[in-house]
Amino acid sequence: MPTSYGDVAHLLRRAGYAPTGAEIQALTASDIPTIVESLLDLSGAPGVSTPTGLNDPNLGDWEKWVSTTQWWLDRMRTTSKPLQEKMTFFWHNHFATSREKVDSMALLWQQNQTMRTNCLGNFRTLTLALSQQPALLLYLDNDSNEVGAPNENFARELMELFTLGVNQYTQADVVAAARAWTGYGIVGWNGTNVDYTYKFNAIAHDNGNKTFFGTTKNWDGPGIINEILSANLTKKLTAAKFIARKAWSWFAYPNPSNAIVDAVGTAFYNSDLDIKVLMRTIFNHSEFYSTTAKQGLLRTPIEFIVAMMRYMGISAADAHPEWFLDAMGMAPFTPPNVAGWKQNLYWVSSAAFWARADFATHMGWIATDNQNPKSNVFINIQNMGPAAATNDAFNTFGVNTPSIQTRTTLENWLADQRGGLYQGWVERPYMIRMISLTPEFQMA
Amino acid sequence: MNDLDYAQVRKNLGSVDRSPFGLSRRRFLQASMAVGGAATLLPGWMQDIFANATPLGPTEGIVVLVMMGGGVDGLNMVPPISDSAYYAKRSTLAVPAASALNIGNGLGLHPNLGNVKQYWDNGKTAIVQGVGVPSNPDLSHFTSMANWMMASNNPNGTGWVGRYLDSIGGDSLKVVSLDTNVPLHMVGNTSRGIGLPDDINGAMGVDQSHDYDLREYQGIRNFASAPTGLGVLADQLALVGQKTIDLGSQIAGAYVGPQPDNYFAKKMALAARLINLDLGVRVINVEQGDFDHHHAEQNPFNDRMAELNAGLGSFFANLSTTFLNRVTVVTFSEFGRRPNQNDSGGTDHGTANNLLVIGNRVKGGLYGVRPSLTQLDGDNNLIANVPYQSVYASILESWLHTDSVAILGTQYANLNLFESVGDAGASGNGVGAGTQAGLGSAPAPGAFSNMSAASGYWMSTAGGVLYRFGNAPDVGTAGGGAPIVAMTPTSDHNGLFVTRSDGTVQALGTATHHGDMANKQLNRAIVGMAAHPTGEGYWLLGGDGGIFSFGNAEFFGSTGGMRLNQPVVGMAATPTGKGYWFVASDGGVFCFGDAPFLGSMGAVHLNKPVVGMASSASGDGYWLVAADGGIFSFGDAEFFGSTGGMTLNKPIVGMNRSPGGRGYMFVATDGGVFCFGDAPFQGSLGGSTLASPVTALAG
Repeated sequence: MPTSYGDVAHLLRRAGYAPTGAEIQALTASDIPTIVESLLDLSGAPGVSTPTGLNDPNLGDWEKWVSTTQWWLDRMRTTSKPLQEKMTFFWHNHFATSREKVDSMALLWQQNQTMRTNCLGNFRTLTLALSQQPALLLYLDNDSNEVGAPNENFARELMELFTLGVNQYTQADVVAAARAWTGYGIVGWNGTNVDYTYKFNAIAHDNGNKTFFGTTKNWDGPGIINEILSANLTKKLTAAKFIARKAWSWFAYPNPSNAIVDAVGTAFYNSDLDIKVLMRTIFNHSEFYSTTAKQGLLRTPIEFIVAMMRYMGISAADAHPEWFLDAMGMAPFTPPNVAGWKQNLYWVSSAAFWARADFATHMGWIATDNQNPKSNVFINIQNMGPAAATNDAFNTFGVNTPSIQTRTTLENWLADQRGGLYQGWVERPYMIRMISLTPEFQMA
Repeated sequence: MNDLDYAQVRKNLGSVDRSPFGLSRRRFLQASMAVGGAATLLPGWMQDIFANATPLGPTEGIVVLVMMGGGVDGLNMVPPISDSAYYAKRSTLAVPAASALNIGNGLGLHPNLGNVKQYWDNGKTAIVQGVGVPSNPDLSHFTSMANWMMASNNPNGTGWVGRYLDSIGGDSLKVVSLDTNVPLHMVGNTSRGIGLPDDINGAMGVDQSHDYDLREYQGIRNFASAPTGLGVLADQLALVGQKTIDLGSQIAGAYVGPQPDNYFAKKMALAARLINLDLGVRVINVEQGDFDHHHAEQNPFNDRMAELNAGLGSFFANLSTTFLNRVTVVTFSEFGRRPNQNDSGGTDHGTANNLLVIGNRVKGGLYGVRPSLTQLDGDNNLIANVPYQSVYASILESWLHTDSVAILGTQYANLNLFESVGDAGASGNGVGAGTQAGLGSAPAPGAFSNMSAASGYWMSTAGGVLYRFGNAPDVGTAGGGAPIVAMTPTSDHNGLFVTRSDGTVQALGTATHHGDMANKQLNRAIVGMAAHPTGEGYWLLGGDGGIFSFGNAEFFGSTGGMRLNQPVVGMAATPTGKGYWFVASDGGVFCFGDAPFLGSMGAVHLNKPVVGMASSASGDGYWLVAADGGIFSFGDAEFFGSTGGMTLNKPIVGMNRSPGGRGYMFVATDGGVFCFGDAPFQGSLGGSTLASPVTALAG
């Protein structure tokens, strides 16, 4: 059974970044479950090579971040399996870890790869892996969580932000979990420098009995995660619904009804927390194709940047997203705090608009620079009438449901522009800037 | 954390220079070890939707922060030219006494600060000495600047100006960074300032000079010309585009006009023009520097001082006279520099510093104590005596009119640096027309010579014993007679009118007697008085609301012929002298002349009777005080606290507005004094044995 162009476009935008018309058209012959399975199948994903700058001893921390960020945004732009990167970013936002505290791109890269490898795997496996790696432990101060001097930061966020949500545990449970997590950190000072290799420091571990969710025994760290995400079925269902709510919020629309959370969360629970089942359930849900869902998310700054790069065929090395990401408020590996980035209206402000416009201006100029043009979008605009040029802009930038006034605005703008002095050079860069600042293009 | 150079610090505490705004909190939050548990902090800095232009009221102060990055050498900015230790420690770097601009007190200004010297001579410059971190100062640029920016023990990665912005509703246009990024101190919990480009090209909508840009702006505005049909989010996106283009055109005017060559002067001119547009801007940050002169300090420092001087000149030259009395410029830096110059002809990271506060309503003079150059800390640095937070508290309380504790977490001493904002201050300290020209043009020497007296107060017992506190001058004695019921100072605070229940008025000190009701028939005893703003006249108030006016004080009406529910207990005159209020014990307020009615407690059941009132500095508000110290504020009179929830030994009998206008004080019958807001506590009679109760307060 074929699927409508609009539904395919919506699915590909949410499961990826910036589908082209041809990519959408090619899938319309299939039914939704078939398309979803093809998206969930990551077997054809391109291989991962370490970003070139990451291990270059001549580069500083900033340059390593630039290299890694460019690598990632280019992968988002070019991969045949964009859901892999969408999910990896989702987990980056969920298990938010910032280079501003974890002062090592190598550790963040290690974490990023763990997220990518497990992005559609088992949620418990993912949580256990991230929790026994330096990046998250350092970010949440677990390297200083020691017997006799527990630091609750990691233990609290493990429950509050990563698995259960607020009010699903008591302060006593936090204390018990913190004690269970004592000793999980890094090698530390080795006599000449700090060795950031992960290490369970048995001497710093609290081997006393702790009472966690009513069970008293000598809990260890992974045991806490296994209790929440496996043994304690009540907590496991709570966690499944907590993650289901968040995934729905980021892929469909924020604040889903309890009925949707129950349906998606129960399927996730029944699969023993298989993330692939979670996403399959979301993408196959009829509500995912509702008007609410289609109008429910706007492009985050990274999605905005990647979409412009992809539709214009400009690489990260040329686009230099690192000059703009910070001002736009969404530098990868630099979430605002452990709660990650927010959604939708978080990105709607004059300052945010100016930042997007600044990037769009830059893209317009590098695309059309006489000496060294980076793109050929709208190369023939001066030979096209306003209506044809506007249609070309919609097609090129993946805008498949323009409003009437967006269309007439662009047409009238071009006609007005041509009614003045001859300023043909204005048309390409300004059309690039205007199409990217339409409300339609800014929607996810 | 290892120290970073200043550029790196700004990268971490600010943002890239590329774009019209940037982030500091994200960078800072995780770089700081202090904020690990901030898990649920909502980074809502983008939730302010869009900036709105909202003109300011005439008493809303504006602050321009000059952020002298890298650690400015305050010792060479304000050299101690009579201190031999300075010349001993700065063998080649010291500013020679002969070339320094002498400002007395053994101090000079750097020779390139000619404008500052003029502002000083006009009484418009406060120099706060010994500012810094009094114990365990940090010598890293990063940590120290972060501390200055955050100014809180629990900042959650926010800065003091940002938290102020949170408290006034979060509209980002109220807090502006002119460095195309928003430094940490302008980032709040739920809001943040906006970065405006120092160049016309940085923000779409600002450059109005090309027809092709204007066409595009119109197009972007038109995206919002009708609902998108794509839902509320798409509509919001269209709308914010339109609003941002409009904002660009609103601020465009600030970019028109002469553009000084120097980057700092250019930004200061822009700051002034932005203020002139009256868009509601309360705080502007302008960066100057780098001042991190470890090596060969002399020439670059001289240049920076010339730059500072030119920037200040540019600022005041561009500032509209409308705002002259509403703007204060404050410098700050993460630390000063070490007294001993190093072997490279530079200076290393120091601690305590000098900080300049300049403006037409600044009380010029020296504040804080000059740190010793010989008794140094373990790093051979100066020892601070004024916490930097005190400067912020002074600004927040006395200039921005807000609760400093809510923003700084702790009560820091208010340095009392300011006159009341704007032209409406009724404290009358000789800052009249002469001071209008004080900045930017002709000097107005001696403008603040009488200021010190205003911070004192007098109280009197019913039996006529007069006590004075703080700087209140000795005006003689009142002596015996009918019970004293009210007192009011003259406008220069060198005289005092004392009123007794039988209508007798005594003029003490420089006060001039204009007549009274002594030995005349009264229907009810006199219960209050108010002086005319000129000091040449006064009104007496009878318990039945009868008014008796003398000298310049005109009669505007009374309730003398009306039947009142409760007796009248106190009165206040408007700043113009063209009207007055009085209040009855049930909280009813009666207005005459130009005194506006702004509300009363007449219909509300009160725990205790109202015993007095005071008007706000502007005359657009008033406070009523009850016997239990409960405060009821109306109009623009803000609530600064009360004793309503406390158990008092004795009832309150009177209140005064503070000299700064940003606070008030009460006195109880036992002479206990309660100060709120910027009202300085100068002592009380609490614990003394009095022959008769205290009945009047004046200050």
